[in-house]
Amino acid sequence: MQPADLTATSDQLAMFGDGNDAIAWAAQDAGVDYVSHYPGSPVNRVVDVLQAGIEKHGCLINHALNEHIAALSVMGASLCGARSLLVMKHVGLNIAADPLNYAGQIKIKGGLVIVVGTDPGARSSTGEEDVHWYAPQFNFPLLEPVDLSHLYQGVVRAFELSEQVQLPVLVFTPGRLAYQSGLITRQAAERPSRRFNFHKDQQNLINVGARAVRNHRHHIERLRQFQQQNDTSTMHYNADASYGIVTRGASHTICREVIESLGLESRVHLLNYELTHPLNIDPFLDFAANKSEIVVVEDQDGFLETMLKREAFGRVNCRLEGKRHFPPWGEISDKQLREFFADHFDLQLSSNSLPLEFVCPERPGSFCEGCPHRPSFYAIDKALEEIARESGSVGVIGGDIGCSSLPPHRTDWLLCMNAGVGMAQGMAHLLPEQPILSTGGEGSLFHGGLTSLQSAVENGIKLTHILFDNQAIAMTGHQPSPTAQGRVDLRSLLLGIGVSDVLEVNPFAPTAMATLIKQTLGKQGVKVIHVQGRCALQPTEEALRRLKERRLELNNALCGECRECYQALQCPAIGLNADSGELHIDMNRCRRCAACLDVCPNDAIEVTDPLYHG
Amino acid sequence: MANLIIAGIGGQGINRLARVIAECCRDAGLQCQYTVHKGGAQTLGSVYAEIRTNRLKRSTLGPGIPAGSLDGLVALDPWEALRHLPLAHRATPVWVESETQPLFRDRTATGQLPIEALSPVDQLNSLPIPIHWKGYRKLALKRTGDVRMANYFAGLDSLSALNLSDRPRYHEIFYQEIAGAAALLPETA
Repeated sequence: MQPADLTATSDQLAMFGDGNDAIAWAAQDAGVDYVSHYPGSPVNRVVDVLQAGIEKHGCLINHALNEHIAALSVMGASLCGARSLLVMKHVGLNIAADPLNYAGQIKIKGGLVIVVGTDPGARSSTGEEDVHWYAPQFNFPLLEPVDLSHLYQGVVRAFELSEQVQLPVLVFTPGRLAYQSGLITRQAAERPSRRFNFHKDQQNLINVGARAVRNHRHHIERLRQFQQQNDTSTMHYNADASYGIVTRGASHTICREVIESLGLESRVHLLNYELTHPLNIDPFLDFAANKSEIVVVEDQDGFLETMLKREAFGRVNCRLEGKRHFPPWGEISDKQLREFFADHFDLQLSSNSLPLEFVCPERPGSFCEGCPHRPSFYAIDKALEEIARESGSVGVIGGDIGCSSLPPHRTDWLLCMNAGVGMAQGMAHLLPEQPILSTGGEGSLFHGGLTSLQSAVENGIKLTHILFDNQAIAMTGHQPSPTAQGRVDLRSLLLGIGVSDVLEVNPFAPTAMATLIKQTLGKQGVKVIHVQGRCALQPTEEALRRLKERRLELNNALCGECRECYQALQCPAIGLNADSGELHIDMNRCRRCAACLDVCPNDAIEVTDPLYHG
Repeated sequence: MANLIIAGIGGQGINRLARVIAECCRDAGLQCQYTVHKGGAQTLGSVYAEIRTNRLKRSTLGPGIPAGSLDGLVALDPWEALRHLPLAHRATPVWVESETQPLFRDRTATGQLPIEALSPVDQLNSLPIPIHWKGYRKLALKRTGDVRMANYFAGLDSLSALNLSDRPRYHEIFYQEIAGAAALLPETA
């Protein structure tokens, strides 16, 4: 592995960037023609970077509404000869999996690279699912760069490999690489002039019956040939050592730092694989020839360990282990590795860490001040509390992912895209008398929620869906959603698929919203409460005016200490003085949405605004 | 090799400050990498940047700072200083904004110690580590009229932590990297 070179030559350009930049720059320098994606952390910025450079690098960008569509669109573009890039997060690969199972059999033309942001440790996701297993399922090559410069080089190379083998090439990057920044050396390249044409090819594209089997065979044969021809492995430290370590991806640099800091360079031999599928086993067989024991160091399930055991079964004489020493959850840590090596080599670990004792609660963040989700969930809670008081029936709130899933977590589950409307309809189907509602943003609605709603309509399910329309895919960086473009008549669309009521509400009047939710829950059919409130981080002109001209003050003389604004609405701009028990509004944090004014039963919050009319 | 953490919460400009400091390191001929951790935080959530520098051209650094290897900690909130102290050693210099930002927890949850009862300032003062208490926010308000510029002043201490002395260059890079800063920062802040 070569660290980034600080002295770039004349045809090179050294720039600071993170993993997202590295991927985008590599695609530009490889002459990418077509890009499709669905935004997701940790690779949420890749397409923003491509978009920013579109005039210079000229590519078409398809902002797909889900990963399934994104995958199919790049397959189409590639068949026309376009170098194509597909970007998504790990869980997006589940959505894209259906078409990608066929992408190996159609003999793509333009290089097709699939960049997937993985998330061991679940730093920015609802799960840390290990998607490595898709590589053998799709039978695609998989590259796992170890650092930023290798990520850049890996994406450039992936386009070449893809064209060489006529298969899509997967490139995985975990969050700790995607969000790492450093110097990246770009290699300037002439953008080739390509003409795009679709050549009819029924032999490969009408994939049915005997042709499907034949195309599958051709796919596997191409992959096997590729397996023998490509070697991206590197070896480090003492080749005579009898103890071997095998790494892949980001665990490589952590492992090397630990080995070097413990002075174990002469006692271990290390093999790293960047192309982890299909595995060229020859370097491993050479590596293993003089080893007594080999340990695979990797995050998650033990994909590389499994592949090595599959390919090398019966061909090596040493012990080969991995997940026996490291857990299949979370990220491999420096601490785990130090303890592992200390145990194996009988080292005494010395640490400079201080034995400190203190209490520091987790700080997971929350809805922003002025966010429409906060008063919306207040309204939902109030409506369900009232129903519970009157009927004893406990309300259920289906949760979706995105900003509406941020703390204080008012929903009953947080799993995956469209889990709100999907799971809620199963429950509502089974328990029609229970007050069950689903929630989700407009990003989720267009991702797959619309089909879920129509399914509920077709099955005659009584369901109330709260649609948070903040006109942006806010959590991943405010990518525009269809409602922001003004091209969608959402009301007509929903009524057109059979939704019985579409009710527009202002989330900053949560008391009225609670009444509306309660009434709507009692009605038959599929109803949508359309919450129209822009993201607080993308304020309207009126929101900016309020911020400048409106003042709010909490009058403690009138406060009845009900704590409705503090404890139920939970606005962070409202603080509690631990000594006096009095509340106050922090005007540096307050966004002047006035939701607190609406929820206060004692008129203790006073507003000064020339344009406020209650 | 030097390892620095700049810590704070969403909205305080940690990401951009890390970028400025990294550019300063590059300017000084250091190899530098940094990783920003922000999770799903839009606001109020913990955000921190791990900055790792090296005078050697060739070296292998993992993405994270090992325990006991932290050479400097600059925090824009006392809670966020506490959070990273397990990585510190006895000689780690720690600079901390004295003003605490709201630590949001579900206020309807029961059985948890009220956050108001825990003082991060008292906890930090009770630890066997010298703390340099700072008023970055007040200073920013006084000198630039905008508390959001607190990260500029925290950056000056970040330079000290990394033994970088070219303050005029830092000022210049801050101007370049952070849109809007030029309108607020005097030429020689």
